Amino acid sequence: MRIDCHSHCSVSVGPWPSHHQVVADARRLGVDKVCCSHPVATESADPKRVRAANDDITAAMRAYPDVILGQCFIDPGHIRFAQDEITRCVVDGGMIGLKFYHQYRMDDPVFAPVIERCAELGVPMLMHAGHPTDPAELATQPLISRADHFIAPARLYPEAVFIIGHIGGGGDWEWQIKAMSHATKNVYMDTSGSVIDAGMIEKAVRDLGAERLLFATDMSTERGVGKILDANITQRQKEMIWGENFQRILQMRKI
Amino acid sequence: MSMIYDADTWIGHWPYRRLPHTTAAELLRQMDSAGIDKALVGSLQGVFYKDSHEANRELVRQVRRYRDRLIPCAILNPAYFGWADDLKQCREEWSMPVLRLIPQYHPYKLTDDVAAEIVAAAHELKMTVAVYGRVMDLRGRSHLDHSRQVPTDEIMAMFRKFRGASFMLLNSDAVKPLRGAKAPKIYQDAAIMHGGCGIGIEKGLKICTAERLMFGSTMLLRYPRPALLAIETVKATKAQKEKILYKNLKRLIPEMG
Repeated sequence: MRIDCHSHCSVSVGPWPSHHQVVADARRLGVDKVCCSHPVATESADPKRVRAANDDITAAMRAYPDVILGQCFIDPGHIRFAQDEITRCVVDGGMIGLKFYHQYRMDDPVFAPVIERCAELGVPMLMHAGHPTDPAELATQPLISRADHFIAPARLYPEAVFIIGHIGGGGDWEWQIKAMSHATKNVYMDTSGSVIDAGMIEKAVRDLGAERLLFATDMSTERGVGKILDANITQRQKEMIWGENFQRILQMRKI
Repeated sequence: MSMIYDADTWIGHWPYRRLPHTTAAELLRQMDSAGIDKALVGSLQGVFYKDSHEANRELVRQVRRYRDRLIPCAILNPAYFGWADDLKQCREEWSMPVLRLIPQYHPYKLTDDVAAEIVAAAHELKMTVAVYGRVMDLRGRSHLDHSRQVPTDEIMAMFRKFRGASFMLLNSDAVKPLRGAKAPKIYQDAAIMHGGCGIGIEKGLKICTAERLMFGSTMLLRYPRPALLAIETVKATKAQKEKILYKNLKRLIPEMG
């Protein structure tokens, strides 16, 4: 079972690829299920836009119930609205977890009530993350979460499940691996992103363990699939990364 | 199963990150694992040595036993003294059919006179010139890496100076073919033309056409399978895929055999 735990799609409101395209692409490359969210990538995500984005994902889930698993996007800066969205989309709407973008860093106290809620519900939180070292790149997302920003909240909330987004999202992935190795075991990393540097997956398996890695593409499907196929690791480790680890996370849900 | 020729491989070390494989023998093992028959190969040391020609000399020695499958490419810095003699040696003594230019890391622009001079000299020696859209994704660059991004406009301005010539543009986004009877022909590899849920390679094929697109992996810097998957799964005829996977490169570089 190959589960892509980090992707995006749109049904009616852009800018992500259409849900039809995402599903066709998954089938083209042998991916069974795709977790999709619709993040609003502005400095502060307006609740109206967030609601429309989550409605869009709900429509995609209905169109492809066997393939698309929804992730609810929220901006913790609008906490009352965020809690209502978690109830609407996750508790009542069948989405499997949450997705955060770069409005706040993962160790910002603004996340506390959201993390507590996710721990109660047993649902995973996927954060857009990376360590862009190029100043121009960093300037476009100054509050992007690095792996070391997960260490304190993960220690504070051991029941919560954190996923560091895209090891290959464009940045110093060696830093990300090294920093994550200092985090508690409730922190996972997904393997998505356009960067396909040789040795990336092998180093992550060596330093973190295959049990903490989750296959994903973030829409770079050939790269996401190809880097796992090429990695010089055991078949057993690949099976864990392709889907077993994420299935185990999904089984932790209490709703 | 089609033959597969790779337009874009490297051996050697990258100074800012440990590579799991660095030698010609290891490149061949990776090629075997991915089903790749032959490859053009350059030395990463040619990017970083002050005198790139020392890396050409090393490369020839490193691939000597594997010349039936690995075809070495010269790397020279036209801003460094003596490039004309070095280029001749690469071609006449060592039978290198391709000159790779790396203005990202060497101190010149493709629009400078020195660039035009080395390209003209390479053409005189019946060599094909390869230019990189980018060598490395700079978003995670080392603090020691002061390379520059080379704008597409700069690359195209250089190409336009050579009517009737053929160029290789590697590890780049797809660029529209130049128009006109004597316009230079641009052969591109699909090394980064994937992503976007399959849209990347579809767009690359549409823009470059099956006549000018080639397979290129960029290994041993990166994993080879993504570029292969993109070509294997894109909507195209068998004949088109064969052109992309090896025939275009074979036609462009007869030394590929």
